Amino acid sequence: MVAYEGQVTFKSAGFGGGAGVVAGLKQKATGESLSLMECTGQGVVYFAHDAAEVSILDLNGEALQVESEQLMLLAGNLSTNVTFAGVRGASSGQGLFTTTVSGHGQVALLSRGGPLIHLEVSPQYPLVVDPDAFVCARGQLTQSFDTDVSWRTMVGQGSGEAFSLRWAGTGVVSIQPAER
Amino acid sequence: MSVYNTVWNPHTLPADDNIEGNQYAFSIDLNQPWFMSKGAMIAYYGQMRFTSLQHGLQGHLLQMVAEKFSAPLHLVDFIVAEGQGKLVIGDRGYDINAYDLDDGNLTIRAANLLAFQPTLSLNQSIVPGFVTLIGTGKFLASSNGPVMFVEPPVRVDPEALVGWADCPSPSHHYDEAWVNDFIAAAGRRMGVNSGEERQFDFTGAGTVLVQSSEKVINDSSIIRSIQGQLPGLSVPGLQQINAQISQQLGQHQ
Amino acid sequence: MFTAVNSKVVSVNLAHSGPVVARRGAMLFYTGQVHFQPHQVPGMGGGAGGFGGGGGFGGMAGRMLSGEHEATMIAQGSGVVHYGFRGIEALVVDLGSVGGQMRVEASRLLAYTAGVQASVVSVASGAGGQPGGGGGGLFGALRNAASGAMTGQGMFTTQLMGAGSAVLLGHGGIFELPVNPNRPVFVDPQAFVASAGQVSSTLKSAMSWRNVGRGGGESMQLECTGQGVVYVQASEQKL
Repeated sequence: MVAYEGQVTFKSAGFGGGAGVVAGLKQKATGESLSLMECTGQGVVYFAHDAAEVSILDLNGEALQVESEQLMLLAGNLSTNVTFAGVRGASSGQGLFTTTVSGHGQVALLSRGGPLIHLEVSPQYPLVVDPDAFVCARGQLTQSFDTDVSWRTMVGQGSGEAFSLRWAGTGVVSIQPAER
Repeated sequence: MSVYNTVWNPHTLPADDNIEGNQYAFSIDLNQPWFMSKGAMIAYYGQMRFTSLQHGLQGHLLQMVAEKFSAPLHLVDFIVAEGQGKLVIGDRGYDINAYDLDDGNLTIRAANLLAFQPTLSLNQSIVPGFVTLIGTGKFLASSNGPVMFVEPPVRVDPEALVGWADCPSPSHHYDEAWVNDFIAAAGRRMGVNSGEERQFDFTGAGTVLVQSSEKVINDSSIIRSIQGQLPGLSVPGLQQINAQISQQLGQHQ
Repeated sequence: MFTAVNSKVVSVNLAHSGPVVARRGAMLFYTGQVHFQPHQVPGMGGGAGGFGGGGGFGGMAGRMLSGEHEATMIAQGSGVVHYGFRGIEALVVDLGSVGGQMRVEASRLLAYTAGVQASVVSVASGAGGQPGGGGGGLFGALRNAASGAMTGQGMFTTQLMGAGSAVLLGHGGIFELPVNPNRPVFVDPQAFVASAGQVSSTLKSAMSWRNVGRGGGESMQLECTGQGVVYVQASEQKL
C-alpha cells in the first residue's frame, strides 16, 4: 500500500493467509509462504511494490498456478491452496510446491523488469521457460523439467538453476523479462 | 492496456523485434546461430541448443568462433544459440534494442552487448571494458533506461556511456575551471568525485549512444581486466589502489 | 524549464532556463558550453559550510542532524544538459502550476532551476514555511527526530518556493493525488515523494494496544491534509 483515501483498515490476514488453519499448516509444512494482509472499509487504496510492473488477470473459475512471491493482490472471494508441483532439481532454490489461486475474481501479479509476457502453449508448440522468469500458468498443462541446460553453466550470472521448465498441453504461461 | 494482455504463440511472436509494449523483452526468429550473453534466455518455442564458448565447441561452431570472436576476455560471457523457433530473451529488466550495422563499426561497452549475429566480428577494444563490432548484421544492446543517440561534439559521464559509432574514440575532458576553482579544489582534497568534473569528450562525425542512467550495468569484464593487471604492481602501487577502492566504497554508503 | 526526454531523463537548455541546481552525479551528458560548481542550499546547519555527503564533515550522526541533504551542483552556461539518476523515473513539475510552493525530500529531488528559492526546513515547521526552527521546543525536536528515524525521513526536508521548474525522483514512477480539506490522503511514509501547495503532513500510527502484532504492516502512515497535491512513488524503497 502506498497511499489511500477514505476509511480503510489493514489487518494481517492471519495464519494461512486468510485461507484458514489447514492452509496455514500446509504452508508451514511445505515452505510455501503467503503473507497476506486484508483491507476492508470504504475508500480508494493505491498499491505498488518495489517499482515492479503490475498485471491484472481475471480468473473465471480456473486455477492459476503462481509463484507466491509474485502474487500481489487477490479479490476477497478467491481461494488459495498449496499444491505439489513435481520433483524439481535438488540444487534449485525452488520448492516442490507451488501456490494455486482459484475461483472467480481478479488477481494482481507482480512482474520484475517489465510487463508480463503471456505465451500460449498448445500441442503443436510446447514451451521451454527459464524457471526464474516463470511467474504463473493456467489451463490444462503438464510441466516437466529439462536438465540438459547448456545455456547455463555453473559459473557466471544466474548460475543457480540447472534446469529449465518444459510446458506441454493447452494453456497460457506468463513470464517476466528478468530473473527473480 | 490491451497490448499487455496479448497471448503470444510462435506464429504471432515478432521475428527479431521487441515484444510489442515491452521494451524489456526481445523475440528472435532463430534461423541462423546467434552469439548471446549467458543467462539471457527466458523462454523459447522449437528446438534449440545453447553451447558455451569456453569449452566443448566443435566443428563448424569452433571455426565460426575462431573467425569472428577476437575478444578472449569476453569469451566466458557468451554462448552460441542454434536451432529453429522463436527465442524470447530478457536481460535483468534492462531496455533491449536491436541495431543494424551496415558495413560499419561500433564500439560498445561489453556489459551492454546482449546478442549479435555471427556475420559481425567482435574485437576487444583498447578502451578497457569495450568491444568493437565490425561488419554487416544485427546486434542487441541492453541499457539502463532507453538509449539516447547524440551527435558530437558532446561530453558524456563515463558511466552513462554505452558506445559510439563511426567517430573517433573519446578523450578525457577535465573541466579546467573546476580544477582551478578554490572550492572545487577543497572538494577534491576531501575525495569529492563525480561525473561533472571528468567526462568523455567526443568530436567528429558519428553517433554516440548514452543510456538513461549513470548506474553501470554490473561489468565483470572490467573487473577481470583490472584484476589481470594487478599481479605486476609494486607494494606502493597496490596500497594506492587499495586506498582509492576504500574511498569509492565509502561514497556508495 | 526542464523537458522530459524519456521517463528517466530530463534535459534543460541553460541559455533559456538560466543556472540549474542538480544532484551531484546526475549529469549524463551535455553539449555546448557548460560549467559545473558545487552548490549549497541555505539553512543547512552544522559544520563549517560542509559539503554534506562524501564522508567529509561529521559522520552518520552529523548527517542525520543536519538533514539528509544531498550534495548538489550548479550548472551554468549556454549549453544543453541531460540529467538522470540511477534509472529512477523522473517527473517535471512547474512550480507555478502547483501554487509556487513545494516540499520534497532532498533524496527525491533531481534538479531545479536556480530562480527557485530552496531552503532546508524542519519537518515540524508549518506548511506556510518558516525555514529552520520548528514547533515544540526541545521535546518537539526529539519527537520529530525519533519519528524521522523510524520512517527514515529525517528531521529536515527541502522547501522550494517561487517561480521555476523542479524534477522529482520516484522509484517505479510517480503519481499525483489531490488533497482538499474534506478529503485527506494517507501515504506510506517511504512512498512519499513531495507535497505542493498548502499541505501539512503528520505521522500517524494506526496501531492501538489492541492490535499489537496483528497490524498488517501498515502501522505508520503520513496523513496529508490541507489544499494541494501529494506526489507518491510506486515503491516503498527509500531513495
